[in-house]
Amino acid sequence: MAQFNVPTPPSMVFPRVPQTIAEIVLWIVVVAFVAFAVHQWRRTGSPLGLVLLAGGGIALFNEPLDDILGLVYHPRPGQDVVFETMGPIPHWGLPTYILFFGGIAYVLLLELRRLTFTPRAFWTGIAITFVADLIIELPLLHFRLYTYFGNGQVPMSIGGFPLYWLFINTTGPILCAAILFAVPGYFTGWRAPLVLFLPLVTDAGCSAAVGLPVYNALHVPGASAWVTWAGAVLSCAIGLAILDATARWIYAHTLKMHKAAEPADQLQAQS
Amino acid sequence: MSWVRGHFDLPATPDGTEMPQTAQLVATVAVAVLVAGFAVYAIREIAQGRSVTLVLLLIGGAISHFNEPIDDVLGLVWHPVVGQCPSFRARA
Repeated sequence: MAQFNVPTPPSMVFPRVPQTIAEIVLWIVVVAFVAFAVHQWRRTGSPLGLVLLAGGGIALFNEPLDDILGLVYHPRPGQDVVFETMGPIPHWGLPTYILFFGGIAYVLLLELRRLTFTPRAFWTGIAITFVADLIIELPLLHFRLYTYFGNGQVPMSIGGFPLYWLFINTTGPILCAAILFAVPGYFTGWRAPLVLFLPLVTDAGCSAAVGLPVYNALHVPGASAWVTWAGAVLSCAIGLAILDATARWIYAHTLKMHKAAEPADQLQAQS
Repeated sequence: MSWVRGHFDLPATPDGTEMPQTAQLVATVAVAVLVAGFAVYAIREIAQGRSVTLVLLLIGGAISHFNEPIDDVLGLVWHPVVGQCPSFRARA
C-alpha cells in the first residue's frame, strides 16, 4: 500500500521516574511564572502575562505538526498522554509550552518595553533563549523522554539534539513578543482576546517557515547526508533571516518610540 | 476508515488510485500556458524598466512548491503515485 514517506521511529518505552520528575519540575516553574504574571497584573492593571501563559499552553496544538514534520518520537508505552491527534502528546509538553511559548515571549516583551533595545542586546537575548531551549531539551533527551529520528543519521545533532531546532523553536516566541511590542494597537477592543492565540500562530508560522527545508530533506527516501545537512543548513539560514528581520523591526520601532518621547521630555525640561 | 497504527496516527491512503493521464496532461498544459502568460508579462515589466518584482514573485511561488508535501501530509491530500509525473519527491 502506498503511504507518505514517514520513517519508522525507534522502539522506546517512556521512562517512568524521569517523566514524573520532569512534570513536577516544569509545573513548579510554571507556578513561579504565574505568580510573576499575577504580580504584574496587580502592578500594571494588565493581565497580558497570564493571557500569554495560557496562549503558550494552546500552542501545544502545534506539537503534533512539529513531530510528524520534524520526526520527533514520544514513546507510546508508559506515556502520560495530554491529547492525541496525529500522535500522542505527553503531559510534560504542556508546562514546557506554557513556559517557552508564553513565558519567554512575555519576559522578552517586558524587556523590549523598557526601550533599551540594541541589536547587540538582541543577539545576546537570542543566545540566552538558545541556552534556555538546550537546558530544557538536553536532560529530557538524555533520559529518553523523546528522541529525534530519521531515515539515517539526524543531521547537526549534539547530545541527540539537532541544532536547527533552536531556530525552529525560538523564532516563534520572539516574533510573538515583537508583534505585541510593535503593533499593540491591533489587540484592542473586540480583537483583544486574539492575543490568546498569538503564541500558537507565531510558533506554527515560524516552525513551518524555518523547518521547511529540513522537514522535506528528512523525509526523502534514502536521502544522503548531503541532502539532510543541506536541509538543516538552509533551515538555520531561514531562521537567521527571520531573527535579523525581527531585530531590525524592533529596533526601528524602539527608535520611533524614543523620537515620540523626545518632545515630552523637552517640555518637561523647559518647565 | 482504517488507520496505520505506528508512531503517527495517519489514515491509510486510498487504495488502487491512478493518475488519470488525459486529465493530468490537460491540467499541466493549461497551467503551463498561464505560467507562460505571467512570464511574458514579467519580462515585459523588466524590459520597460519598471520592476523585477513579478519575476521574483514567480520564482518565489515555485520555491513555495516545497510546502506542498507538508500540506499533503498534514491535510491528508493524496496524489496518486501510479502514472504521476512528479516534480519532486519528499513526503508523498
